[in-house]
Amino acid sequence: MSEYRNVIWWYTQRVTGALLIVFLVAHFWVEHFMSKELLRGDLTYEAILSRISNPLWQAIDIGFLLVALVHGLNGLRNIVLDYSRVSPRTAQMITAVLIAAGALWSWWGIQAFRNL
Amino acid sequence: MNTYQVRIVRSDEKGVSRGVETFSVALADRMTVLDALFSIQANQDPSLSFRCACRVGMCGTCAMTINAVPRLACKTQVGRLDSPSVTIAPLPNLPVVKDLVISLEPFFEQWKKIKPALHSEARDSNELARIPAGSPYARETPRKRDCITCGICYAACGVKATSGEYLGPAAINKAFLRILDPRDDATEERLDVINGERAGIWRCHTQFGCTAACPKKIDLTDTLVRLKRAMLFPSKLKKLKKKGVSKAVS
Repeated sequence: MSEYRNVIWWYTQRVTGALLIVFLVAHFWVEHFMSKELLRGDLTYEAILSRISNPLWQAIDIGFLLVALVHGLNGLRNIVLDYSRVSPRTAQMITAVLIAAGALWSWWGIQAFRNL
Repeated sequence: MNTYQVRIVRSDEKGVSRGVETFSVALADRMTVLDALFSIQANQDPSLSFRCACRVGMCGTCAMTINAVPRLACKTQVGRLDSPSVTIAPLPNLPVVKDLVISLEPFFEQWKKIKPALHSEARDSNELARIPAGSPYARETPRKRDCITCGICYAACGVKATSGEYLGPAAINKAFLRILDPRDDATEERLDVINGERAGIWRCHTQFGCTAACPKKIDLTDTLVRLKRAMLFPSKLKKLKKKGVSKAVS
């Protein structure tokens, strides 16, 4: 694998972009169109709770969260690097802040499943 | 002969804008924008400044923005613009010296960063360098070697418009040629430069502005994308370069 760190970010952005397509289509399909309860017209809190208590759905949801965060925050970092005139040191600080924000949001999102 | 309205973005000798001036010029359809400029300079305004040298698209000196697209004035026939008016401006992303004359200094500053000259460890060798027909350099680079350093790709690059640090397509294309050159030994240094976070290839957004504008039809976007992919496995690239096998950037 490459010793160049930047290529990893570039490749990660492409992989997470492709994964986002899969996750988003699956998300909309299940949440808004094709769940059995929706089709029957009796979608309830219990039905949702039952689905998101399933470890497989939890893994999918956490995966979606992590992929969206990495893709979105890395995209934001790219915009900063493309359009800003900030010094390299400031750019490094912005990257550190974005990584911290990503870690915090990941932790926050994963915590939601602990209270089920 | 048709009469064209030639609108020229003017500036004084300090590069300060003087607005747009319009000239009426009678031209035959096959005459070029450069012919129009010579006609204006000879018959209407001798103070008009522009650069040219070879007049056959070999030197890249007469690069300017013609009807909003960076092109070579000597290769752009007025009749093919399909417009009764022609608007001519200096190339963007480069400092204006006067009228249509720009300074290519920033372009060549970036060019120098990628070590464009051959850096061979065997400089004193009397043995002739052999470039096999199947080597990456021979197979992958014929069209990419046609660069005339006109600065058009640099002017057409959407990323260059916002980032002063970006190397620009021409410099990266030159680095690509040297990286594949089996006689060259500075691959590591060039990979370090093109890997730069704010100046390197990662800033390219594959907008194809450079490829669309290049007067020599060099597929610069292809160069950039190949380099990005090759950076995933640079050791493979270096090994294959030594062997003269062309797989690393395909």
